Amino acid sequence: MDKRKFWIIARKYATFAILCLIVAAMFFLTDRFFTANNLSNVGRQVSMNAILSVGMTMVIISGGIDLSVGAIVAMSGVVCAEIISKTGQVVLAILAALLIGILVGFINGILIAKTQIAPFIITLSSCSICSGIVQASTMAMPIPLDNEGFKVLGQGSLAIIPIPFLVMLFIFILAAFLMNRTKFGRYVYAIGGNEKASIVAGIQVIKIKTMVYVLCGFLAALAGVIYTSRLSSGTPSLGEGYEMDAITAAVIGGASLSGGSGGIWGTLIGAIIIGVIKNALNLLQVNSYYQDIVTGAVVLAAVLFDRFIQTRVNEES
Amino acid sequence: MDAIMKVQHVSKSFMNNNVLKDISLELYSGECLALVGENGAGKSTLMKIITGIYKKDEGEIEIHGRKTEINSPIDAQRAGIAIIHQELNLISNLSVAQNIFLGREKQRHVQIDEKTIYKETKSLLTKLGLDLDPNQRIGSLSVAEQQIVEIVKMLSQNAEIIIMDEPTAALSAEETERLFSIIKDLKKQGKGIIYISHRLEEIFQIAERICVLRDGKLIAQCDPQNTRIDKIIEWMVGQTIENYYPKTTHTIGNVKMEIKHLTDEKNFFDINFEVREGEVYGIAGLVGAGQSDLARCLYGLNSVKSGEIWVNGKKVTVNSPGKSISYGIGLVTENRKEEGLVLSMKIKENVGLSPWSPICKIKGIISAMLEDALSRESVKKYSIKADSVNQEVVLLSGGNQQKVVLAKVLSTNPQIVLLCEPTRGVDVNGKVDIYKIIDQLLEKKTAVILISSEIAEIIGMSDRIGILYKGRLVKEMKNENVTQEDIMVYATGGYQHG
Repeated sequence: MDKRKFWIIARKYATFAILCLIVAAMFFLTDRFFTANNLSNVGRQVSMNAILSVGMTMVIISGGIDLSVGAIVAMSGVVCAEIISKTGQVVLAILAALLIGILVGFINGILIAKTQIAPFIITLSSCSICSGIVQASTMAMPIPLDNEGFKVLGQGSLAIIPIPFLVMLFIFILAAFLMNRTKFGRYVYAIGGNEKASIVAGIQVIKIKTMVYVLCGFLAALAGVIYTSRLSSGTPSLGEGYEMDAITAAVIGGASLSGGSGGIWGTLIGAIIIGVIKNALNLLQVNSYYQDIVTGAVVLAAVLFDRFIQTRVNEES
Repeated sequence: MDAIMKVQHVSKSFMNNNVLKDISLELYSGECLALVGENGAGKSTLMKIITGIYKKDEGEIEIHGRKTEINSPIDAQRAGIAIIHQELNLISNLSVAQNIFLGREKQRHVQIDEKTIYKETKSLLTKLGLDLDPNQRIGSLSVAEQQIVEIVKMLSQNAEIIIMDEPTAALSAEETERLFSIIKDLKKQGKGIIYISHRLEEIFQIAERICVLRDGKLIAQCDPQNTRIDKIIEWMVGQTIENYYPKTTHTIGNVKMEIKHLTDEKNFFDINFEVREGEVYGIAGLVGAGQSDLARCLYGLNSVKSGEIWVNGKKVTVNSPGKSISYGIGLVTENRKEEGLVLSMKIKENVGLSPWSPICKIKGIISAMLEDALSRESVKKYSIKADSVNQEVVLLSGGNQQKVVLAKVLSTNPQIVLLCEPTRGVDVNGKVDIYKIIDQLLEKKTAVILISSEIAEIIGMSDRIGILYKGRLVKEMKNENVTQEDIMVYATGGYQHG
């Protein structure tokens, strides 16, 4: 029984240990990693993917997947930029962008919860529809911005801590509370673990599932707004493939695509691992094509390692 | 007569935990050997050793007098040993014939020779006197028929020793009879059968010998002809159970729930009955007579076509589990792993799963203290055996899992409790514990509807009994001197001919 506990704890902290290893390796490989400038840069880069990953983690825990987050990033970014460039109303623009994310999430969620069609298919379609709308309405042309106030969100810092990083931390604390301390979070885990049993227990499965996708859409839109602020431009091609990074972060963090398991803090570590690896390879001047290979290999290693530990846990029980 | 299989001095331990201690037993050709014991007695470990899934630490296995090493399921198959699990290993999209020949398909050139497979399956089926179409998809068959397909599959692999693990758990009385006649056939053909079951009445019908395991030891071997059932229970649990059905008498109060002309026009028709405070209304019937559909409708999981449900003298509409819980109705479903528990979650998380569970101080936010208190209280009240309330339910035994399901349902304080097969796959001690929980409920004036295919349980626990036959409530009786035969006459439709 004690061995089992050991492996369960090992599993819990394994990703954190891997992160420490990578960071330690960087300490020896280059002196440009541990500079205030670089670390704040990593923090900024990580935060947007991390915000996407939070929503994705909730969706994955509920037993689903959301492939439309990248398209929502683009859509909300473009809407936000368009409104700012036309009216100069920053708050209105941000609210409208977030509303777009909520709306797409709601449509995804209600379709998935009510029709029982695979989330993969529904969100694949909405991904395609959303990015089509973005490309068509902008004719694929970026919308440049020069609003100083809006820039702060993506480019500003508090002391040396980037604002996006602070936003991200706030989101993670809220999300962790939601998933670990509230009935909503409990039901997300329950639905992912056993949907039939959740229905019998009296949980309003349709409502909870829909809300999960609404949250995911909202967070994707928030990430889109921050990206747009950071680039000072509404970019129609933004967000392509971001859903994969978000899934990767969640999976490295221990989420299982069959639902029911995973955690918010694990995902944070997953997102940081991805960000640190990308940054490290940049600093070591590795060609960006090789970066993809390394990222893929890391995911594979993380999943294999997790399976290895899982078998140990099962053997000991 | 020579033994087909001899197990000699087999021992096995996991991490210093002796789960099998010096087991020796023989299996003869043409006999059915029943293996009984509580969960954790070592039955399944022994079977896993015989079928090559676990390695034994000590001892020998002889097949036809020759020492045989069984180190993998393939070795076991070669030695002519086959096991039929509770969970069947068939592929539901493939046909009967395709399943039977899975992995051993006959080929003509590069194609699978479906015709030969069909013909051979047909002849195997006819040999057992079975009327099944080899082309039928497995998914469209009943559990009983699937089990028969599994048996045929084993026979086609020339199995000589057939192990059946709780084969009747999901079968109706009629289907059980059919299985028994197949077992008799197999015995005539000289096969040896090891039969594992919690249902002792069955064992007396079918077995030539009974072996009782307890705590990894072979406690007794006996002949069912000269042994009483209480003696076997005593061997199994290591003590005498004075009162198998510990129901005490309670004052029966007002009508809690009344069902009027309820029908779903598919599984049950024109159902009328009432259940009162402090009363158990038992619903007996063969598997598939409509009882579980009825329970699902009363709980709002399925919808009814017409009819009325009255709770506390008021007409109600139950169209969702949430609604029915708010009317004070609770349901324990018949399949705890599919619909009762979230296996990946802890005991405390399962106990507090219902939205009506009292685990919040502030709405929507779980109070760790209340959650802990609720589950600790449940563990004590329902005698759930676990290391702590933080243990995952997947690690618990069947009986303890079932108690967690009960704790979950009862945490919402229901006034009317529907129990579907509450003791399926639960060992003797666990059963008695669950009956005690039912008795506790009656004390609190709860109305209980007990649905079970175990007639002994219905007779042991009910105040009144309703019997379903083909979706209709054909008989209602007070539980006074009722015998199993009285119930079977109605449950099988025999009353129409008598």
